[in-house]
Formats: sequence, C-alpha cells, structure tokens
Amino acid sequence: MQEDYILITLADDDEDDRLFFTDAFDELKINTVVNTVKNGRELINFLDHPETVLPNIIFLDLNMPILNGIECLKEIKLNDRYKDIAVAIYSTSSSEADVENTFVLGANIYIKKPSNFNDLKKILSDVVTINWQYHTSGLNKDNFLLRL
Amino acid sequence: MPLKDIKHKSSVFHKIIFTISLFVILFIGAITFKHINNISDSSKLLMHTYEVNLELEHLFSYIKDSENSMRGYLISKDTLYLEPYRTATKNVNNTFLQLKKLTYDNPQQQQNLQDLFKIVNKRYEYMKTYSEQNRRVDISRNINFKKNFRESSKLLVDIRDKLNEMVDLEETYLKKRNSEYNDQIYLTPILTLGILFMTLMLLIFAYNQTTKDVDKLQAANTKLNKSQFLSYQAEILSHFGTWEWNLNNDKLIYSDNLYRILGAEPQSFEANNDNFLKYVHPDYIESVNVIMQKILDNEELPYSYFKIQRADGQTRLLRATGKLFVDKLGNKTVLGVTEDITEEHLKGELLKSSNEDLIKVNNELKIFDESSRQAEILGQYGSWVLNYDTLEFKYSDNKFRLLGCEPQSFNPSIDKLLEFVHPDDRQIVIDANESAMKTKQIPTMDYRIIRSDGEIRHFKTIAKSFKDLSGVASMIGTTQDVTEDYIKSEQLKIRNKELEQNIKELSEFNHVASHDLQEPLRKIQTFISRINDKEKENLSDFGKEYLTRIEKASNRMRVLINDLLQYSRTNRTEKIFEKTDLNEQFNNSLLELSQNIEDKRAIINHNKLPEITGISFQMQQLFTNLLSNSLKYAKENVAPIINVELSETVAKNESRLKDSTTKKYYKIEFSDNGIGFDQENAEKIFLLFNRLHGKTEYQGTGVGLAICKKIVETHDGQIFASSQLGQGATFTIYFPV
Repeated sequence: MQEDYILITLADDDEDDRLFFTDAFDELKINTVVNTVKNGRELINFLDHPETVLPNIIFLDLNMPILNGIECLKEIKLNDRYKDIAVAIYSTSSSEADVENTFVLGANIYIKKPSNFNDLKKILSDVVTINWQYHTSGLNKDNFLLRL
Repeated sequence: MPLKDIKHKSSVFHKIIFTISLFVILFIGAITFKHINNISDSSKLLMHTYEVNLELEHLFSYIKDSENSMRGYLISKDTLYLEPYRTATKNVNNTFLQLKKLTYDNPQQQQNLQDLFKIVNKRYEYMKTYSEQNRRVDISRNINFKKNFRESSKLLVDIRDKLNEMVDLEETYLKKRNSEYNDQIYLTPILTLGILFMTLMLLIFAYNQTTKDVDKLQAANTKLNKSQFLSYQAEILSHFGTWEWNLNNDKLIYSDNLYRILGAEPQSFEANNDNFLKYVHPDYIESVNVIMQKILDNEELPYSYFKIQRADGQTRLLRATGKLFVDKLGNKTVLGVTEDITEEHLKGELLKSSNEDLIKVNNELKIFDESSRQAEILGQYGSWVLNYDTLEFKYSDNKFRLLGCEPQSFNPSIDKLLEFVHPDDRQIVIDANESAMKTKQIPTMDYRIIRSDGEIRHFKTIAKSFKDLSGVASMIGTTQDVTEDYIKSEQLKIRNKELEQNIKELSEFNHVASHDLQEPLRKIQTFISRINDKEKENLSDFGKEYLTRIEKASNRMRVLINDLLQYSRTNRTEKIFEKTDLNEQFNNSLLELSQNIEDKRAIINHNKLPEITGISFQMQQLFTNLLSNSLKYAKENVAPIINVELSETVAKNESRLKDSTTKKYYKIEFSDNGIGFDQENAEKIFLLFNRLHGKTEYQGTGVGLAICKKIVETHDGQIFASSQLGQGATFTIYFPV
C-alpha cells in the first residue's frame, strides 16, 4: 500500500504554514501521506527513528529554531541512509544567498512560499509530480529555483 | 746601458786576442818552417859529404885496380890483364866526373880535385909507358923502367895523401855540418813545444774570457727576460700596450696587450695601420690618420689622444706616445706606448665635476637644511641619527622640542629617551633598540611619551640604516608627534564603528522587511485567498466588499515591500562588472513583461543595442522598470507604443551632461505615447517614493524610477526625463562607451 503513496515530510516551525501545507495536499488529488515536524532537530530524530519509513520528499523551511534548514540539510546529506531523499527547500525568502547556499549543499529544488493558496496547491503538485530522476540529472542553478 | 758596454768591450777584446794569436801562430809557423828547411838542408849536406867520401874511396880503389892490373900485366906480360886496367881507367874517369859534379859548389875541393886529377894523370902516364915498354923491353933490366916504377909508386902515395887531404877536408865539413845539424835538431822540438804552449795559453785565456762573457751575457739575458715579463704584466695592469714601427721597411709590431686594449685576441690580426684604423672611433679616424702621418714626418709621436670603438661597442679613450730609436745597423724604429686612459679620464672628469658640484650641492644642502628645520617645526617631527660604531645619538633641535625640552639641552641616549617614554610603552622602545643593534632595522614604532610638561603625546618613529660616503654606518630616524592624528583617527574609529553599527542595523531591517514582514503578509494573503475560495459565498455584500479592500491593501503592501527590497538590494549586492550585451538583457525584460505587454497590446520597437561593461541583472532591471513605467502610464484605451533608439554621441554635444569634453557616450532613448508629465517634475520623478499621481489612479510605489537612476549612476551614466503633459514621455540614458 505504501508504494502507491508518496510519502512527504515537512519541517516548518510555523503552524499556519503547516496548516496550509497539509490543506493543500488534502485538496490535491494525489495519493500522498504528509507528515510534519516543528524543526530540524525533530526532522532528524524522525528520520533516525528505526521504525520510520523514510519519506520520498522532504520539504524544508530555512528559518527554524533549534536546528535551522541549512544545518538540517547538511546533516541529511552527511547520512548515508537518507542522503538520497529529494529535498525541496520551502522558504519565505528567495534571497540570492539562500538559493546559492542550499544549491551548493545539495538541495534538489527551491520553492518560495506563495501568498496565494491556489498558487501553493499548484506549486506543490508540480513538485510532487516532477520526474525526480530526470530533474536531478539535469539540475542546474537556473532550474533549481522553481518559478510559477 | 751597462749591457751594451759589456757587449761592446768584450767583442773588441776578443778581436785583439784573436789577431794577436793569429800573428803569433803565423810567426811561429814561419820559424818552424825555416827550421825544418834548415834541418833538411843540413842532412842533404851530410849526405853530400858521405857521397864525396865514398866517391873518393871509389877513386882510390879504381886507381888501385888499374895499378894491380898493370902490375899483373907487367909480371905476366899477359895482355889479358890489360882488360881490367882499361875498365878501371874508365871508372876512374867516371869517378872524376862524378866528383867534379859533386864538388862544383866547393872551390877548395875543386882545386884539390884538379890537383888530384893531375897526379892521377901523371900516374896514368907512367903506367902507359910501362905497358908500352913491357912489350918491347924487359922491365927488370931497364933502369928507366925502374926509376919510372919507383916514381909511379911514389905518385900512388901522393894520390893517397891527396885523397886523405880531401877526405879530411870533407871530414871537417862533415863535423861542422854535423854540429850544425845537431843544433837544428835540438832547437826544433823546443820551438814546436813553445808554439804549442803559447797557442794553448792563448786558447785558455780566450776560453776563460769567453766563458766570462757568456756568463755575463746569460745574466744579462735573464735580466732582460725578467724585465720583459714585468713589462708584460705592467702592460696588463696599467692598461697600456707597446708598438714598434720600423720606418725602414714600414713594418709594425704590436704587443699582446695592445690587442687586448683594442678588445681583440692577442696577435689576432696583422699589425698594420689599416687594421688599426678599423678599431678607431669613426669621429677620430681623421685625427688618427694625422697622427700616423706625423710619426712618418717627425719620426716621433708627442702625446696624442683618440678614441676607439671595440667590437663589443665599448668606446675607450687612448693616449699614445712614441720616440725614435736607431739601432747600430742604422734601422730607424719608432717605439711607442699606447695607453687606455678611459678610467683615469672618467675619474678626472668626475673629480672636476664633483668639485664644481660640491659648491652647488653645499648650497643646496644649506637650503635643504634650513627648509627641513622649518618642516620639522611645521610637521611636528624631529630627526635623529644613531652611529652604530660609537653608539652615539644625535637629535635635531625639533626632536628636543617635541620632548618639551630646549634644543640640545641634554646628551641624547637610549636611556635618556626611555625616561620620557610612557612606562607602558617602554618595552616597545627597548625591543626596537635591540632590533636596531642586531638586524640594523626597526619596525615602524608607535609609542607614547610623557613630555617634560607632563602631557602625554603619541609618537611615531620610522628609521632606516644608512651608510655615508665615508663608510660610517648609522641609523637615521624620524620621529613625529602624531598626537593630533592619533586623536582624529581615534574619533574616526568611533565614527566608523557607529557607521558599521548603522549599516548592520539597516541590513537587519532589510532582513526583517524581507522575511519577518513578508511572512505575516503572505499568510494574510493566503488566508484571504482561502476565504475567497471557500467562504466567499457565506459573506454578506459588505463582507465581500471589505474582503476585496483587505486584499488590495495587502497586495499594495507586498508591492511596497518588494520594491523597497529591490531598491536596497541595488545598493548592497556585489557589483560584478562584465561584458554585458544589452540586447540580451532587453529581451529578458520583454520576456519578463510579456504578459503585461500582451494585455496592453503594446508595440515595442527597438534598435540593436550595444555591448557595455556593466552588471547584467541590473541592466535587465533598468529596462524592465522603464518599460513597465511606460506601460503603466499609458493613455487609457490607447495601445502603448514604445520606441527604443540608440545613437552614439560625445559629451559636449549633450548640454544635459554638463561636460564639455569629447568623451563618447551611448545614448539610449525610451519614448512612449503615454500620459506624460509636466516638465517641471522631470527631476522629481526619480526621487524615492515620489509619485505624481494618486495611487488609486495608477498603481506604483515611486521606487521604480529611483532604482533606474541608481542603476544608471552605478554605471557612470546619467538618466533624464523629458515630457509634456499628454504628449508622452522620453527617458534618455547615457552610458560611457
């Protein structure tokens, strides 16, 4: 049954954003299982937990307490067990510095949080339905930042 | 000179000796020859005497023979005995002839011989008569015969006597001659020995003399060799070369070093005037030709100067001189010396000029000294010198003043200086002093001193090691009172810190604006979109109206925040200037605005744009802002037409640039057919947050054009706007080529 679903984990400290995120997937007609955590530390703990079934895509907010998105991304990429999971940065800012940093650290895609719910739905649906293999092999700085 | 003397004397001496010995030998030889001749004569005479004696004996015996035969005949009367008698008689005649011949040079013997001949004849007369009588008579009875016979016998005794007399005479001759011969025999060896001895003596003397002369010559030769070697070295050391010019056969000889002076290998070319001239500096060929002619005319060369050019391009100054030398054979040779005096000349020139310069320099030094004195006072610095050998310090007057003391009021030393140095900074000075002693250099020092009036002053010292012309090593330093600068820089530091703080705060504000302000706004907008999607139907008309207004207000806030961010980013981002194709950036802008352009059905015409050195993304931003500005302020219901034109121009032709130079510029004009604006607002529109219209009529924050101005200025360009209300607007951008 698990193979039919796309497992998605979001790490975001903002409650509203977590709500929008889950609502958006609820409204999308895609078979997804969405799991949310409140910060980077929680995400790492979740991934490290032996009973956890590893997600297919991790959505990572950058501005988080305890363990922020950049630090969390570094840890993910250092761990042999889950370094190959696709990581989508999911941030309010799309500052050059952040985009550059996360690209270098090995994130797969960068999403700027939209200010319209319909836009959010569209962008998330796009991300989830991307052919990851194809996207990753042709990954470059120009297509890293996903634009609507 | 002594060499020549010896040679001369010895040769004359030798000649005399050899002449004498020649004469002596010839003389002795002649004597010897004569002697030997005498001996041979004497021996001939001796022989002669013997021969005469022998012949005399023969004569006597032949007479006897004839006598005997005669007697035999007389006794036997046999004629057979007469045959030997005749033969003996013939022999007697022969012997007489012989004797006559032998004694022809001796008159006494001739006389004797003649006497003897007479006696013998007489005797033969007798014997003849016997033989005739014998035939006819009997001898024994004939008295005549007997008388004759006795007479004849007596004659035989006479012959005997005569012969004896002759033999005696010859005997005396023989004795005399024998003694003469013996004398000669005795003298000859003595003479010969004497000759030999004399010759030997002469030879020994000559040999001795020659050996002496050879020794002397050898010594002289060694001396000559040595002096030749010395002169060879001297030539190299003193940069001179020698030459010989034989005027008789016009042959030249150059010494090795003369070749070296010319920059050539010794004896590498034939020594002659044509080859020499190849080395002479072109400017001096004429004068060297004159010099050579002079040598031929005057047979000597006074000091002459000329320059040569070596193969390696070096120009050298030479001095030549020569004197005539005539040898014993009468050969005329000019012996000369050519000297390279380039270095001496330079030294001389240097000395001459340095003397003149010295006065000048001295004057300049005095002026400099005075001006540096003044400069020290004005610039608040003092200088000092530390002599490494004596460890003596010397301070300039102002150095004393800086310490708050009267000029030269104390003997400066490191200890004395330390008394003035602030206790906390003494180590700096001590370390520097050690470093000066060890490495002869010190780092730039900053330290405080406590002036004699108690005030703390900040000093800066730099120093460098220096060796003066007399070779004295010292450290020359300059110490400046930098208290004022120090205070100023301290204030500046504080200012800078404040500024840095401000900038930090600003960037923090930027961060807040970009993240923390945006986040709630984004959420508000998302919630609005949620309500719009899900709950709109449940709202009353008022509710719907208010929701729309909330949406607009929040959108506007978003635009404001974005514009602000963009503006501040224009300032902050790293400015990477690179070759930028404006066409590419323009097309990017068109792409970015494509929806807007399509919506407004705008027509945009543009020329080919140039390539400039700039920040590409800012160029795109510039075009986007200008185009969107034109689109935004289009006339209602009129499709916007935007023309972009490029031209090249020079500064002085564009009055707005306020630049009268011929600097070249690209001029890009954006003209539209929009609503335009009053020309008096042409500058205002580039100010931040400045708007000419109500925000309900035209959406805008008043940031876009401010960003444009900023971008253009960043690229050393200028932007101007010109318009009339309702006549469309033109934005003109100038970029330097």
